[in-house]
Amino acid sequence: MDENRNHETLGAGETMIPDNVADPEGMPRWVKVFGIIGVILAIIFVILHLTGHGLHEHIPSADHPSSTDAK
Amino acid sequence: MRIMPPGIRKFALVAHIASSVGWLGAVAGFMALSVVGLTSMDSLMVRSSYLAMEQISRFVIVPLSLASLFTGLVQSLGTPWGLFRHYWVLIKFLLTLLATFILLTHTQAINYMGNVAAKTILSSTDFRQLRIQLMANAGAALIVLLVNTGLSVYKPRGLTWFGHRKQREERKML
Repeated sequence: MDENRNHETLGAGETMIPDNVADPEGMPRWVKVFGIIGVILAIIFVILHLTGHGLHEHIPSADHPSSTDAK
Repeated sequence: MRIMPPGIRKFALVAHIASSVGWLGAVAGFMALSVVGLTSMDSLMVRSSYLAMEQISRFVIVPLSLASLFTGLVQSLGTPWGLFRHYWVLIKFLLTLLATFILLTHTQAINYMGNVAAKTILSSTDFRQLRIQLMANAGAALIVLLVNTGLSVYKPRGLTWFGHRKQREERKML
């Protein structure tokens, strides 16, 4: 827990990285989880837009005011 | 960028927290209005909701999102945290950038609904898909902003490749 405290506080010494802790050079697990979730969400976003479920697909253009969405 | 003196840093931190938390609160309000606009049977209530959503978006959410992005950049670049050293700072920055970009590209839809509400009386079936998506987008934005708040508080450990390089350079200099 001391390691966390050193890491979190931004005290007068301004040492962001604790000297007593050797940070592993690899990517932390939580970053990998964030990355996987981000990729999944990006894929869903692209699929939704490609299948015509994007937000702008529901806005009638000026040329075609009688959208199927509108009554 | 030079490290900011403590007084200016505190001021920048207050500005960043106020704009970020304000953005979160405004999006929560926006979402509440979008739910009312979608589910209410009272046409006056529906109209008021979309009119209010347009104004909140234009005068509160967009300015606060830009302020949060700007003050976040100042806060990271003006302190030893840096922008690219720690994963949590970098991810928070990317999420803020993404949320701001999506917000700015979706203001057209919000303004459209505001204009429609101002001119016509909306029934519960009018523009239903668009109204559902406005609510869903507000929910997604709320989740992203809550994640950002969590990252700011927990500051999960982990240095980027750039952070490790900087750390080695700093140790060599000592």
